[in-house]
Parts: sequence; structure tokens; C-alpha cells
Amino acid sequence: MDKEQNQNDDELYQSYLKESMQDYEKSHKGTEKSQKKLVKAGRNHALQTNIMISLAVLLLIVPVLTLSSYLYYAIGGKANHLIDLATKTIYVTEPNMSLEEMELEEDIGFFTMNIYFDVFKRIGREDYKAGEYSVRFALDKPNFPERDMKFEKLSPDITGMESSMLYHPDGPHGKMVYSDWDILEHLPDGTVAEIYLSLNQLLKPDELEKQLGNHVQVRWAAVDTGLENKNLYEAGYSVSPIGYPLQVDTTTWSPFNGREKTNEEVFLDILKFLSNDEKKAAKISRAKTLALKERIPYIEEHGIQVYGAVVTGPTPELRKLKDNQLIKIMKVGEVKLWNWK
Amino acid sequence: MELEMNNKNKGKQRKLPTISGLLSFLIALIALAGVNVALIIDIDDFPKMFLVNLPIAGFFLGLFGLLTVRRSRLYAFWGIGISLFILVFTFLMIGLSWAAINPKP
Repeated sequence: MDKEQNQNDDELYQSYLKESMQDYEKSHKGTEKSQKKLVKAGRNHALQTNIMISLAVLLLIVPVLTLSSYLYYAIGGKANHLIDLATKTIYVTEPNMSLEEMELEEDIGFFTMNIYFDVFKRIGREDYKAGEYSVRFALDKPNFPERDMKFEKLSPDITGMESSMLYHPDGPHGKMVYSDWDILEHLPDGTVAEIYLSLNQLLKPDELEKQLGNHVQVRWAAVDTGLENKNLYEAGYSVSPIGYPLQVDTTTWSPFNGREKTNEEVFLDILKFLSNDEKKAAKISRAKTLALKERIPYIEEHGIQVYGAVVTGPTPELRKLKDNQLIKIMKVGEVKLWNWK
Repeated sequence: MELEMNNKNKGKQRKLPTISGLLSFLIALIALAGVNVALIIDIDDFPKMFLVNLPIAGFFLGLFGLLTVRRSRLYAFWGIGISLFILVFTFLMIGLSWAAINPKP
């Protein structure tokens, strides 16, 4: 009896064990399969995550750099300061040149800024586009500007007193320079011209305007700053003329708009503004140095006295200036068809 | 057996929120790629799709992903982060170039 029961139990146990083993095998097989699947899925997921995060980091580089550059130029008004510096330098170092501040374009790259603007010359009664400027700033340091001048007269990239067309009466340069009166003589009457007058003596700007009469317009006056009459050795600097427009410029966003200050006051303000960043201003201008630390005190002490000027008007009226005893040297700039209305 | 069941259930639970986060991240990446292209080739037109529409979609999808997912919120966080960055980028760039750099009346 016992034996029979034992045998039954044993059989039951064996069959139970067999079933369990089959179950185990079945379930074990399944786990291995799903584990493989899981590992594969995990590996794919990790790869996908890696790719997406790497892509995100790479794609963030350009926008982050762009935004940082904009913040760099915007915070503290750095871009506006540099634009001011460039435009004001043109007004005081380039004779008879103005620009349209409203048309100035800027382009900000990775910690660089390009500014583009057109410069104009008044010849007769109209403004003519004289050329295009492009100044590139790396951070806040300007490179030498690229100039694309439209007029026939080529202007050197770097000027000094010897290569400018305005000469100081006591200066070392201009002694061997001949006036261009014969050019004016040969020009037809129906033209207007821009001429560069170098005087025999220093004059107050309003006195100069009075002396030249109402039929011509004095555009820009070169101011004596105590360095123009010296040679390079005495002055210690190679300087070029600085000056300012004598006419009030109401039509543009010019600093010389005559609303709050006279042109003389604005001129001195600009010189002081430029003296804070003199090296940058000198690089933008065609002058080798501006030497403002010496020139400003001289102007403040002696007042504004001019030794040369850019004058425009009808050619017949300009010819009459030949008899004017004040004028030592006259050089012709640009000539245009009649527009003197 | 129980373990297997649990795994299956968890797998099912995980899928939905992952799709939301994944979509958010993908949309943010597409928007970011668009911003890159616009910046590099210097397009004059305002790419509103990449600068505004896609980041807003990515942001809300990411939020949805955050709310429903229990475990992996990684994609949702990235999606929200990038979308927010593009929106802040757009806002700051417009503000800075309008008011702080060479302003014109």
C-alpha cells in the first residue's frame, strides 16, 4: 500500500518536475529573447539620444555666438559709439564730405561689425555721391576702411600735409605747388566746381566767408592747430588737415545741424569725443595721426582760425577769386554741370 | 511571469510620453537647424516658421511630455530648453537690432 503510494507520489513528483523544467525552459527562453530585445532597444535609444544631443549642441553654436555678438555690441551702446566715431571722423578729416547717417547700414558677424555708408560732396548746389565706405570692426578695433570713391580725382589712402590740397601759409609744404587757375579758365561757364583755397594768412571763419562774397559758398574750413606750419621733424607727427563744415546742415542727421550749438562748438565737441579713442579715429581717417591731445589745447587757446577752405560755386564766380589777395594756392577738385539755382 | 507582465506594462506606459518628448526635441532641432540656415545664408525675410511657430509647438509638446512621463524626461527637457532658447533669441535679436544698435527713428 505504502509502496504503491510512494510510487504514485514519485510519478507525480517526476511529472511535476518535468512540467516545471519545461516551464522554466520556456520562460527562460522568453527572457533571453526579450533581454536581447531590451539591450538592442537600449543601445538604439542611447545612440539616438547621443546623436540628438550632439546635433543640438552643434546647432546651438551659431545662434549662441550670434546672440553673444549682438549683446557685446548692444550693451553699453558700443555699436552706436563706434558708428559715431566713424562718421564724426569723416566730418572733421575729409574736406567737403558729408554722409547720410540715416542710410548707414551695419552688419554684425561673430564678434565683428561691418558698417557701410555713402559719402557725399556738395558741388554747386547739389550733393553728389563721392564714394562708399566700409569699415570692419573686430570687437571694437577698426581695420583700415575700404573706400570705393566714385570721382575721377584719386585721393591717396594715407594723407599728410604734403599730399592734401590745403596748405598752411607758413608751412613747409605748398611752396612748389602751382595753382590751377588755368583749369578754371578753360572750364565752360555752364559748370560748377569745387576748389581748394589755401590762404596767405590765418583768418576767422566768418571773416573768410565775408571776404569771398555771397556768390560762392564756403563748404569746409581747415583749422590751424599749431602743427600744420611745422615740418615732420618739428611737429613730431605726420598730420593732415582737420576742419569742419561752415554751413549748417539741416536736411540730414548731421551733428552740424545748428539746432543747439554752432558749428564751431560742435567741431570742438567732436575733437574731444575723438580724442578719447584717438587711435581708432586715426585708423578710420586717412591721416597717419590725429595728434588731438596737442591740437585741442592749441585751438582752445588760440581760437578757431582757418588757413584753407573748400569753396564751391559757379565757375565764372570762382574765376573772379583769382584777384583776391588772400588766396595763395588754388587747387581744383570736382566739376559738375550747372546746378546753381 | 509576473516580471514579464510588468515589463510589458512598463514598456507600454513609457511609449506615449516618450513620443511627446521626442517630438518636442525633434521639432526644436528642426527649428534650430532653420535658424542656423537663416543665420548662415543671411536671409532678409524673417523666418517666422523657425523662429516662432516651431519653437512654440516644441515648447508645449515638451511641457506635455513633462506632465505625462514618469521616467525619462530627457527629450522633453531638451525640447523645452531649445525652444525657449530660440524664442529668447528671437526676442533679444529683434529688440537689440531695433533699439540698441544703430537705431533709426
